[in-house]
Amino acid sequence: MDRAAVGALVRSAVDGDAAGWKALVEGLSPLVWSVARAHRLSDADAHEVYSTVWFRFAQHLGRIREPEKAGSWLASTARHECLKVIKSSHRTTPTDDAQLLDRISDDRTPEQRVIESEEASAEAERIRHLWQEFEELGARCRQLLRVLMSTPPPSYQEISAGLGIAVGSIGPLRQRCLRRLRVRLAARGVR
Amino acid sequence: MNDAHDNDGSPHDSDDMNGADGMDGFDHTNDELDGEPDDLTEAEGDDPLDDDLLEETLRQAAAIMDPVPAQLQQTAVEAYALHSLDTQLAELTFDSLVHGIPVRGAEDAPRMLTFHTAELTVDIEVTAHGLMGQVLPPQEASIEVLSGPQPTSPPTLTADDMGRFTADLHVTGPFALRLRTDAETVMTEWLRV
Repeated sequence: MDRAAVGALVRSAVDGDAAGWKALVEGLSPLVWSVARAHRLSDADAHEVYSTVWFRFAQHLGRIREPEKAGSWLASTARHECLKVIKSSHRTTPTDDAQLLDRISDDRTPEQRVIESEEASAEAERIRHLWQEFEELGARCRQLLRVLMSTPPPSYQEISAGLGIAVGSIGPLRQRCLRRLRVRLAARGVR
Repeated sequence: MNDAHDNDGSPHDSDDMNGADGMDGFDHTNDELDGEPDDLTEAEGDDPLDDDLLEETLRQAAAIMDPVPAQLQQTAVEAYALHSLDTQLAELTFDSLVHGIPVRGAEDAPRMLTFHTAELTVDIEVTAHGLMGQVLPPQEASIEVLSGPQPTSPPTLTADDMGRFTADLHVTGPFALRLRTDAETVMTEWLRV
């Protein structure tokens, strides 16, 4: 999300505009979710981290010093909650890969419905293969790409805040990880 | 914001992927070195346009394969109700999970938390069996145990005149306390227990 737009939405939410808040949630939810996913949390833990982050953001709303950096604030808060989950790891169960591969969530998006139609089955197959190859990348690449691929595209500052890697290494790492993925796809014959 | 994705023009990878560069909390295995020849020549495609295209395809895939669950997102929308200006925020200043010394073999080590406002300190201990705490300076308070923005009546405790409180509650997930003293209403920072 555009920083200026985020800043304006935060300010209007502070002033009592629930629509501004809703727009923030819609625009930045995928980023928060992607950070939880990038840390390989179980479904239950990812839900809790996501909720906690938004509850805390609501609580801090009027105290956010740089409203236009709310995306980085959310990503960073999500990261820290994820690390706490990992630290208390006797409570966590790692994500079951096979289950994730088969994931078509219960809350179906319009895109999912489309993809379930017969004409789209080839496209669905392609997406499934792409996802599978993504899932089999090494930990670093999986992490970076999972956050990178949230919608709308996150800024490098937000990625940095969510993963604790320097802004300057994101570009080269992205290039490398995409190349790796492309090689895997080529080996599998996926275009 | 797309310009943020332009690479820096350097044709070669840096080596910082496999270094201990602060990706704390994760396995540091060199699993990027998974047996694939890493340096397939540049001809294999470092075209920034190809990269952008693949990234965009991944973005579509993520929206289909791993979207934010709609019900969960609704919880975040409803969290706006937690935005309350007449409540003092008690900031988390100690968390045994972050600052504590690990207790060997203690599966059920209590989670110890301290929150501060300018006037008030709240110490909390969360175990599998319940919750206990102390308000300082010692005073009576009515304490709600919150787990989300839902308006339903949450479990409520009372701190005695020494500021002590206990509850037989098994708290898990998002968690905050709302304390009402004679002077003010205080809410602890949300965290996950």
